[in-house]
Amino acid sequence: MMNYIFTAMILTAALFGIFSGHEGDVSAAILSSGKDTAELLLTVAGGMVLWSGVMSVAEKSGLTDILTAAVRPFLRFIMPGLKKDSAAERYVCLNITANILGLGNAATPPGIRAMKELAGSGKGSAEKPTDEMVTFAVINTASVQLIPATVMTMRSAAGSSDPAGIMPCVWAASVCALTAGLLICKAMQLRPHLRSDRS
Amino acid sequence: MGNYLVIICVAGIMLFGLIRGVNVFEAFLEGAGDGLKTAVGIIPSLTALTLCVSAVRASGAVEALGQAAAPFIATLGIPTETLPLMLIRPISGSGALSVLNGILDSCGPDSTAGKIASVMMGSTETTFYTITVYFGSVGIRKTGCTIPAALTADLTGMIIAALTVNLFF
Repeated sequence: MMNYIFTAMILTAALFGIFSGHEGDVSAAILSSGKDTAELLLTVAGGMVLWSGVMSVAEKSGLTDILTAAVRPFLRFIMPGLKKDSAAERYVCLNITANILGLGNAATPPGIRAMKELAGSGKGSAEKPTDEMVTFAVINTASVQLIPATVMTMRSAAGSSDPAGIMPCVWAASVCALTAGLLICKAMQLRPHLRSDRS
Repeated sequence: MGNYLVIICVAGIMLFGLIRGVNVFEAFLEGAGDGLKTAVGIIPSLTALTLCVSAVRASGAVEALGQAAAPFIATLGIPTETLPLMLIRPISGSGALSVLNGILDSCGPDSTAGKIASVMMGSTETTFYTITVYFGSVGIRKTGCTIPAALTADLTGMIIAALTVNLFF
């Protein structure tokens, strides 16, 4: 998919730029995009290294276990097919707590293990994933995280007077997003005729 | 308030680690090393997406699109400057970083558009990539209601981002 999006964007820029008289701007943008990438990368990379360090301390001191205990009742409610104390439940918890702590890299391996466990234990097939698998994927596409580190780093680099002031708004928006996603998910699972089983 | 949150988070985590008998410094270095690997890993895609994002921005196509969509999204309190971010966010994480950086540069991080864009970025995820990774790992091609549900979540997050920023600031 990225193949088409990437080329479509370049072609749009070329055609629109030439026909609207912005060819100078487009050419300048292409030539300076390498430098822009390097600058953006320095900011973002610095933030990633810093906050991965901080969150690794949180993970090693057992904050993950505390979060898992907090997340478990919520999981019982939204993923009723998840067996208590199963391997699937353990991996799902690990994945969700790593996401909350903003450890995206640490979240993916247990996430994939969880998906495999869910696929093995349920009635899922290549034709139709189980409700639990869909719910789990939706949880992962709604990013609920305590510290939006990359965004705050970029705001600080852009000279914001209050880079972290957006945190409460981020929490509110991501919780609402997750709730909306889960509601749609549940509504479609309860009413099979609403399903659009497309890939 | 944001300043207190940052200080409390960082100092609190370090103190908690110390109380639980963790070698805080070692743990920090280990995590920072992982963060460095992530950062190096995004270089190729960030380069590709910055190229096409800045070319499209310079061509004027984004402004034309913003003007066309303005009447629809203005009623939700969403600034037109954030429209490109809304479109690219579910598709490409690197592209979204590049677009957000452009918005913070041109509108300013403390402008309404800058704040809303920041909240949109922080409260949503690269939906299509995530779905591809998770369903791809078990070889399932049909994803049921995942995509409609996940895109509804993204749209809700973005609308609430505009709503809360307009309300709180």
